[in-house]
Amino acid sequence: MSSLRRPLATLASVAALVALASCGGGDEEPTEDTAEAASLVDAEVEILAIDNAFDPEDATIEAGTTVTFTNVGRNDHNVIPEEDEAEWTVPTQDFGPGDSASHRFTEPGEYRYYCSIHGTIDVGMPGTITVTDPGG
Amino acid sequence: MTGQATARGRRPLRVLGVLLALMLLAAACGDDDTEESAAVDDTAGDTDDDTAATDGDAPTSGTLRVPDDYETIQAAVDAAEPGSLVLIGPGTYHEAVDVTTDQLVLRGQDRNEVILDGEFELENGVRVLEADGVVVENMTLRNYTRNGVFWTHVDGYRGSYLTAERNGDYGIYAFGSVNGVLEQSYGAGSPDAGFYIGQCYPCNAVIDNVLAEYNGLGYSGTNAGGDLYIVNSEWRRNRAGIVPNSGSYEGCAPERETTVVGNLVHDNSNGDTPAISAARLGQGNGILVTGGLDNVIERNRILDHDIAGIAVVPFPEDDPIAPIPEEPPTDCVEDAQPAADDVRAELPETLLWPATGNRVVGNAVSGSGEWDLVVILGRDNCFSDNEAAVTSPEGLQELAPCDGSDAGELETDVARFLALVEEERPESADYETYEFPAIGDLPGMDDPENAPAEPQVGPPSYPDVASIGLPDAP
Repeated sequence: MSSLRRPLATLASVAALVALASCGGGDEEPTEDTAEAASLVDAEVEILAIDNAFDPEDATIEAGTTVTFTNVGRNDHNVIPEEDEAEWTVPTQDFGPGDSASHRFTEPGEYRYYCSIHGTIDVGMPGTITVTDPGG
Repeated sequence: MTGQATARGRRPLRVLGVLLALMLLAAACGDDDTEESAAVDDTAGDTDDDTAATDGDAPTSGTLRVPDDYETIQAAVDAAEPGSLVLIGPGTYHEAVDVTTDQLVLRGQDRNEVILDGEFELENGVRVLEADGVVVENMTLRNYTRNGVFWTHVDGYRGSYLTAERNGDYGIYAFGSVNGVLEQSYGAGSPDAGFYIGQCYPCNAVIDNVLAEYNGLGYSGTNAGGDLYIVNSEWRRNRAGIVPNSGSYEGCAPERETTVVGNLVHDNSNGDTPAISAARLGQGNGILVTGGLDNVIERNRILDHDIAGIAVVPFPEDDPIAPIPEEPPTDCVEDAQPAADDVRAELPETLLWPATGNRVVGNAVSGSGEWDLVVILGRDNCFSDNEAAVTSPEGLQELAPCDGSDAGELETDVARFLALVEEERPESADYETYEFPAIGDLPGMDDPENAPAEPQVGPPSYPDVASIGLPDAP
């Protein structure tokens, strides 16, 4: 009996996969992106801007984590990503003492940033966020 | 890494309940170590030897001239090797210069004619990033959105014959740095402070013969001290004059062991200046030790302040990120370490940094609106031989003389202090448009064309404090 079911199960699985592969951009079936999005974590982490450093300076998070930058110093700061015009830039006017800004990191990779008032990407007031695969 | 998102917005000052509830700790007095400095004699570059290598990548020693050899100051700095002199000719330079090479000397040929102007677009005039021994001298830096000159995390720095005007945070600023000198310089029109040294112990630093006016604070020093001397200078027409202070948002807390001698401090009640909130809070005080330990305040002349000539008071820090350390750190330039989330959650909304062990001797104080000398809470602060008509508590110098006796707990006028703290202060002026009298041309260094370049290597020459007398009245 089991030997008979196995080919049938396999046939059904293949049929299902073929059906999925033939789907267009419709909004009914889950896409590969959605499947990936569903696997992202839903966590939160805070990075503090003190005078004049980020704490922690090096942070490792899983994809899907929301990072909140909070200025707990007495000086203005900013968050300038190494990548130009990244959407998670926090300009000075939005990052005075007590201000916060959040961004959800969904793509694995290394994200370097700095406060341009008090340093460069390499010295002074830099930071790095390493985003790992969920569960990584 | 774990963490949680917490919203930490601004909170209004909550001083009343905290001050009435707390008992303060005593602290031992430290030694006042006035060791001789190492000779600073690393003369790098004969200024007669123009080894101007305009071709770009090879580092260049000797003297690099701007604009003769390099069109911009930054180009010269980038080309220079350690020990070089970057000699800048008269002109206005719209530049923000970053220095990452050790032992450079940046010098203007004329203090009043070499002008770095940020035009309210650029952040810092000259910024020295983890480069040791760098000297900036004989020039004017103005209209930067942040700082005129800024050293961060360096061993060895000197600022001489600098004019820093109308810069958006500090005029002249050394952070997390040791072995420094700020001298013969002028800072005006900054909302935070004209001069600032922060996050160092021991700092091994001297501020000598400077003038600060029309700032929020004339001098601010958060968590700075240890062989730190503020001498022979004038602090006038700021919101508050000389303000050593403590806070958890910078490393090396608390502030301690700053020596303040021979200064003329007057008319620091100016409500018209640009001013950060802390400066507004301190308005009306000449020398304001707020949350500092074991400082020495001697033979200063202090006149005409709306609140106090010399005030030794606790500092109420809103939203602290770490508790007061049980033991002050030694050999420190490190950044603050925020406490773990669970510890931070238990911190009070307002953390009261005590002021203890301060020594106030031989000052001449007059013309104060409330008190010539005042101490609020605190233990082991002493006051002797000061010319002062009104003190709080009354008879302060008899109650707490500097003769080694234990004054115990003094009954201080907390209620009146709180009332003054909570009085409304004028809002900050916009530093970009704030009008204040032009200082005019200021004396520059001797023979800038030929004087040898002297990077700041090792500790500075400390002043002979005992020989510094009481300044004359203005």
